[in-house]
Amino acid sequence: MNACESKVDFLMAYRTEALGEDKRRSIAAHLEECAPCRGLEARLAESLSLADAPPRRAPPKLLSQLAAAEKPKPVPPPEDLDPSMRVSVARSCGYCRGDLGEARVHCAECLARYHEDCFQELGRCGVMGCESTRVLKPAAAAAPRRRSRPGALRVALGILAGSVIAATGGKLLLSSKPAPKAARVSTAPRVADTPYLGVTLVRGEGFGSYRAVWVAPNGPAARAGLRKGDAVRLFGSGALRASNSERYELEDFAIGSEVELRFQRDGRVVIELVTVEPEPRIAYWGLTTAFPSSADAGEFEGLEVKEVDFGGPAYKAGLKVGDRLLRAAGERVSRREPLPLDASRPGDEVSLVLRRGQRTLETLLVAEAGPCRTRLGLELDEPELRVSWVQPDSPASEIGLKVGDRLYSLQGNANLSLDRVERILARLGLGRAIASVAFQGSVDSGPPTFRQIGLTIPEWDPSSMGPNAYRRCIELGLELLGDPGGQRRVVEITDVTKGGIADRAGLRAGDRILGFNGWRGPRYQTALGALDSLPRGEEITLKCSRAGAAFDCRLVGE
Amino acid sequence: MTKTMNERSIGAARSREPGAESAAEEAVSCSELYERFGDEIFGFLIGLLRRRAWAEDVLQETFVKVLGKAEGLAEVENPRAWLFAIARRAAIDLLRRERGQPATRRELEESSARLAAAVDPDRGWRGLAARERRQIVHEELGALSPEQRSILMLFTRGLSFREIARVLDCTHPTAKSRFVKATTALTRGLWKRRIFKEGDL
Repeated sequence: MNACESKVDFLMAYRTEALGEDKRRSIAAHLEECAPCRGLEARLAESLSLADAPPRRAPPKLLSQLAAAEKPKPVPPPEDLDPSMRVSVARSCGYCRGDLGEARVHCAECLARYHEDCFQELGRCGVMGCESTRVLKPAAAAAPRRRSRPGALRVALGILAGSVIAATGGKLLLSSKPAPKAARVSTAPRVADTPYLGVTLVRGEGFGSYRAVWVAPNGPAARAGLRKGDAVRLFGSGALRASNSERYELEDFAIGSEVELRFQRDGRVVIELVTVEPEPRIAYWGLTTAFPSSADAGEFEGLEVKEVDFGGPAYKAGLKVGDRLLRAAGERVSRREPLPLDASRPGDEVSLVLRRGQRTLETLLVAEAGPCRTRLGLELDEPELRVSWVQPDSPASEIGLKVGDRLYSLQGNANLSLDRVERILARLGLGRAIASVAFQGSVDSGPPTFRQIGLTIPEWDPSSMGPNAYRRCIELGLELLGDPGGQRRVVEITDVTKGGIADRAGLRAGDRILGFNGWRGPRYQTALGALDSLPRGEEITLKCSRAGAAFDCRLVGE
Repeated sequence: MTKTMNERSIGAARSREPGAESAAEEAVSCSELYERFGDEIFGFLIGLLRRRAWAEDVLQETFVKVLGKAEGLAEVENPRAWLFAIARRAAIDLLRRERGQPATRRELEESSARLAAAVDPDRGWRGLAARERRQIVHEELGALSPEQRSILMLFTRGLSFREIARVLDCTHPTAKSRFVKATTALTRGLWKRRIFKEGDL
C-alpha cells in the first residue's frame, strides 16, 4: 500500500478543482490500477458531500426587527408615551442666534450650543442658572483654551524657559532656536501673553526688598546675573506699586518694558536692566518623531511619525503613525535640523507636508497646552518635576498641590519625566478618571503625600466606544456602561447630563437599557455599533428598566 | 463578480438560490437579504458554532453590521459571499472569545462522546446508515479548526473557489490550497476511526 499511502491525503480533493494538474494526473493514473483506492476515493467524496450544513429556518423575529429598524415609522406619537418626552434641540447659537455650523461647542453642563467664538466671547454659558465655563467639543478641532490671568509674579515658569529642544531619543523637546516666522500663520486666537522675568520672588526684609527663591535657567533674570537666594529690589514702571503689596501683579509690567534689578554680588551692588519678555510656554503637539533607522539611510524621506497621542493636536490634524514628514512650515525637513516646533506656544500653527504611502498630504498642526495644564491645572518644571504653577479651582488646587511641591508619582508610576506625565494624563479614559498623585512638600525631608484627584475628561476612549457613538452620547447627554467583552447583556446608564436630552426625556443614572428601536437585549458592542450607525436626527426609542419596571422612552436629537 | 457556476463536480444536493446575480442589480435592503440568505447563513453558523444560541447571536450581529452598511448595500457585488464572510468572521471571533472556558469545552466533549457512543464504527462504512455516516463526518468536522471547518462547509454549500477566496479574503490559489489542507485533515480524522474496511472499498 506504499503507493497508496502517498495518495490518500489528496483523494478527497480529487474531484474538485483544488488539486494542481500534476497531482491530479498522478492520482488518476494510480486510481486506474488500484481498485481499493478507487473505492476509498468514492467514500471520501461522499464524506465530503456530507459536510454540508443544511439550511435551517432562521428566527423570523429577527426579520421583523430588521424591517422595523430599516423603516422607522413616520412619527405618529403613540398614546402610551408622554408627549412631553419629545424634545428637540435648537439649531441656533445660544449667543448670536445665528445658524450653527460645524465648529460648534456644547456647554458641558447644560449642553446648550454655541459657536466656538461666541462662547469664548461670552466666557460662560448664557443659559440662566447654568453659567458653566466648561465646554464640550464633540467635533475634532479644539481651539486653544483661554488662559486665566495669573495672579502673582509666580514661580517663574521655569518650564524650560527658553531652553533647549533637542531631538533626544527621537522625542522633540524645546530648543532655544526661535520658531520660523512661517510657523506663525495663525488666524486662531492666540493665548494671551504673560509678562515674564524668569524669577520667583518672596518678600524680604525692608521696603521693596525681595529674595529670589528660584531663577529660571536662561530666563531674563538669569541672563542678568541674578542667582537663587539673592536679595533683590525692583525698579521700573509698576515696580513701586508692586513693591507696596505683598505680591506682584504681573499686569503691572508690560511686555517689552524694562525693569531695573538691583542686587548684591561679590560685595558690589549690581544694577541691571532687564526686558520683560513674554513667558515661554511648552506647546504640546502630541507627536513623537524619529529619524528613519540607518538601514534605509540611502535616501532621506523625512522624519517618521512614531507616536501620536490620542486626542492630541497631531491626532486632530490627522497624523498617523508611519507618516513621513517632508516639509514643516514651508521648509524641508532635513536630517540634521529638528522640526521647527521649538519655542512655540499654545495656539501656534505649523503647516506640514507629509507622505503617507504613495500620497502626499498637507495638514495644519495647532499646538495646545499640554494635558498637564488642561487636565490637572498645573505646570511642572523639569527635571525635578516641581510644581511651577497651579491654576485656581483646578483638580490640582483642590488636593492642595502648591507651587514648589515635587511630583513624586502619578497613577503609581514613580521615576517620572514631564514627557511621561503628559503621556499618562493623555491616556486616561473617558469621563471621570481618577489620577492618584503623590507629592512632596517644598521642604524635602517629609514623606510624600498621596492624594487622589478626580478628573473630568471630555474625551472619548477608543477602547470602549466609537467616535460617533461617543458624539451621540454627548449630544444625548448620556454616559453608558457596558461590558466591552460583550458577555453581559445589559447596558447601564452611568450618568445623565443635567438638562440634556436624555435628562429631559426622564432617564436617570442607574437605568438599564434593555433595547432600542425594537431590538431587545443588545450586547454592549452591538448597542454601540447600532448607535454608531444610526443616521443623524434619527429618533431613538429606548426600552429601559428602572428598579425592575420596564418603560419606554424616546430621544430625538437634532 | 457575476460568475456563479460551480467549478466542481461533486456535492449533488445544491440548494442554490438565484440571489447572487440578480441582487447585484437591484437595490437591496437588509431585510430582503435576510429573507433570501438568512436560512442558509443560519445553517452555516449552526454547523460552525455547534450551538444554537451562539448561532442566533452571531446571526443577529451579522445583520446588525449589514444594517450599519445600509447605504453601501447596492454596491456589494456578491451579497451571498459577502454575508458568508461577515458571518464567518463574527463566528470565529466568538469562538476565539469563548475558547478556554472550561464549561464550553466540557460540553463539547460530552456531546461528542454521546455521539460517538451512538455509532458502532466496527460495522464499516457500508454497514452504516446514511444518517450515521453524516454524523461521523460531522463529528470529525468538529475536531477540525473553525477555519478549516468553515472552508469545507462553504464548499459543500455550493460556493465556488473564487467565492470562497472572497469570503476568506485571500487569493484564489490560496483558497484552493487551504481547501486541500482541510480535506487532508478530514481524511486523516476519518481514517483514524477505521470505518473504511478492506471489504468496503
